[in-house]
Order: sequence, then C-alpha cells, then structure tokens
Amino acid sequence: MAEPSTKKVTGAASQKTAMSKNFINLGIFAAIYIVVFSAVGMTGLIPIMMLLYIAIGCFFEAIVVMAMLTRVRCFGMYAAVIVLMGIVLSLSGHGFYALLSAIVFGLLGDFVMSRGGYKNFRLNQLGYAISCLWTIGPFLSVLTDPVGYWASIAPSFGQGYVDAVAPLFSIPIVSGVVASGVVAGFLGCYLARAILKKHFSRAGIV
Amino acid sequence: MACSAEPVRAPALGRALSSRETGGFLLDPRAKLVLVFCFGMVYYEAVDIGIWLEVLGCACSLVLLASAGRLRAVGGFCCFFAFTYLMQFTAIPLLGSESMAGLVFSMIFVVFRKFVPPFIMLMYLVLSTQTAHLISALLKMRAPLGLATALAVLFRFFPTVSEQFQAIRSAMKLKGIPLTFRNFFSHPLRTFEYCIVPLMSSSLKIGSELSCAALCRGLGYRDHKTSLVEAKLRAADYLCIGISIGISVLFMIWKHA
Repeated sequence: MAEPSTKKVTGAASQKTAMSKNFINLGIFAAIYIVVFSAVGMTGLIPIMMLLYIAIGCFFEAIVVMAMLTRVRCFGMYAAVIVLMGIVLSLSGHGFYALLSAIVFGLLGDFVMSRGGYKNFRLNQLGYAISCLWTIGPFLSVLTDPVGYWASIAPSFGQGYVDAVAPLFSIPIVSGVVASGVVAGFLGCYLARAILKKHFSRAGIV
Repeated sequence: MACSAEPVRAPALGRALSSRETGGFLLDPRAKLVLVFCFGMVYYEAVDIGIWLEVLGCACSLVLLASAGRLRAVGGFCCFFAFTYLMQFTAIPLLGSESMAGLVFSMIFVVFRKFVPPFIMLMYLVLSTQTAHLISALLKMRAPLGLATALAVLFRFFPTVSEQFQAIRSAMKLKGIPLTFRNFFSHPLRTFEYCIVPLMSSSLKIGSELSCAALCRGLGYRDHKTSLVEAKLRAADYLCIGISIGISVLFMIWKHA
C-alpha cells in the first residue's frame, strides 16, 4: 500500500523540480530576448532603420525562441517571455497597448506551439510568426489617436520632426512594417533551425 | 592570531538588511517596483509638457542611480545629458529643424534622450536589488514562487548577458573577426551567428547550472521557505510608495481634466 503513495510523491516532486527549471530558463531566455530586441531597437534611431528594425528583430529572435523551446516545453512560458517584453516596452514609454498586444499575441502563439507539444517545427514556426504580431502594440497609441499624439509630442520634439515623421505612421505603412515582422519571423525560424542543427544538436547541447 | 578574537556566528534567519548591504537608500524591492512603474507611466507624458520636467526626471533617475553606488555610470549619463541639451539648443536651431541633418540630429539627441531616464530607473532597480531580497519581497506580496524565481533570474541575468557579450567580443577580436560596423554591415548574418551562438550555448549551460544550484538550495521544497534576508516595509518605503502613487494619480487627474 505504501508503494503507490511514495510513487505519487516522487512524481509530484519531480514535476515541481521540472517547473522550477522551467522558471529559471524562462528568466534567462526572457533576459536574452529583451537584450537582443533592445539592441536591434537601438538601430531604429537611423531614419531608414525605423521601418526595418522590427523585421530584423523578429528575424533574429527566432534563434533565441527556438533554443528556448528545446529546454522549456510548458504552456505559458513562451507567452510569459513576450509579456515581460511588453512590460519593459510599456515602462519605457511605448504605451499600455504594447503590454496588451503582448499578452494577446503571446498567448495565441504559445497556444499554436503547444498543439505540437513544442516539438513540431511547423507549428513552432507558425506560432512564432503569429506571436510576432505583438509588435503592433507600440504603434497602437499613435494609430488610435494620431492628431492628439502628434500634438502632444510636438512641443518637446519640434514641429519639423513631427512633420517629417508623422506621415510614416499611417495605417498602410504600419501594417506593412508589422507584416514584414511576421514574414521575417517565419523565415527566421529556418535560420534558427539551421543554426541549432549546426552548432547545438551536433555538439549535444540541446 | 587576531582573527580568533571574534567568534564566528551563523547568520540569523529572517534578519532585515542594513543600509550598507542594500547600497545607499534602504528601499524595499516592492517600493522600488512601484517607483519604477510610476516613473515609467508619468515620465513620457510629463516630457511633453515642458523641458524643466524632463530635466527633473533626469535628475531624479541619476540621484537614484548614484544611491546604488554607480558613480562612474552617473558621470557618463551626466555628460550625455549635458551634451544632448547643448546640441538641442545650439546645433539643431542652427541646422534648421526642417533640414535632413537637423532631423537626424533631433532623432539622435532629442528622441533618444527621452528613452534614457526610464532606462536608468530600470538599471537602478536591477543593480541595487539583491536577489534574495527581491524573492523575499515578492513572496511577501503573495506572488507565486514561479514568478518570483523567473523575475529573480531575469534581474540577475541582465548583467551576466553583458559580461558574456564582452567576453565574446574579445574572443572574436582574438580570432581576427572583430565586431565592427564594417563587418556587421558586410556580413550581417555571419556576424550575428558568431555573436549569438556562443551567447546561447553559454546561457543554456548557465541555465542548467543555476537550476542545479537552486534545487540544491531547496527551490523545489514545497513547504514554507525561510530566507536569510527579510523584506520589510519601513517608513521610507511607505513614503516612497505614497509619493509615487500620489504624483501619478494627480498627474492623471490633471491631464484628463
């Protein structure tokens, strides 16, 4: 009689151990995700890069995410990384929509990935591409109230700057930028798979 | 021997941190989180009102960073702010804000500067908070253990990423493939691969080592855990939380009225 109960405790304990490991890996990969996206975001200061950096960021983050999925295979973990990114963006002046879209699209992408148990490359790729839609969040505060937004930043940034930049934030251009992010994320997964295979699988790391 | 004079005492469980250990201001992590959150909410709105509010925000963030003992970083940021304000009031009007050069200058100096003080606040939060103190504070807030673990690792890992990156950069230099703008733009994919692969592999390794270390110290233990340091809210913390929330609420009311 004692045996099954011992087994049950061991099972629960090992599950708890696995969860603790998941949370530690979550912290690590969230840190890398945030650092890589911020580093790419810095290039957005160069005027032409402003339209490209989201695509570049989504493309390169695919490696980070794919490496994470080899370690963390539990629903909600990938979404948590995106939500942490959303929190950092909201705190650094991109508005609350950034957090909102991170929650929505992070969960959506995570759900798609979880259908394949985080092991199916196609579903992981699709889920990652869907989650790249979170990048629309920072633009929503401009798109929902363009007149008010530009009027509010004109005093500190200068009217010349506003006149030059405001036309870029039209709905077609922003959708194009976000769509390019999704496509780049989709393609980035191929690169991620190649790199993981070349460097990590062969070395037995993942 | 002189060292035998003081008997070795085991550290008491649940003691509060002294101000020397927390680095400067004796603020609880909860108070810091509220402070950084409120600052992030208010600063961007306040910047658009007037330049004096922007300067005030910069000064506040720098004072806090100085309280974490990072005087060199504070000096660097002071130079940066002084330079960008100088440029804003001399170079940009000279070039004309409609010209291309003026536009690029205002992008770099005015727009970029807007993102710096909240970044300094996040830096202060990460640099001045001990991991054990943070976990203890989060658990007292009834946060789930998973969240506390993830946040603690996240905080701890930002400095590690930058250390790793420095090491990778010097290794790349040694191999004759230095990380320069020229290399980055001529071979972006290859350069990125050279950076990210060592970073990922060392991070994966650190991840498993950290898990082992944490589990050895009882992370998987199911009952109530004790902590070496105990997070306590004191008068200064309540004052800090009160001021942060008060200013945010007043600001929101004033803005929407």
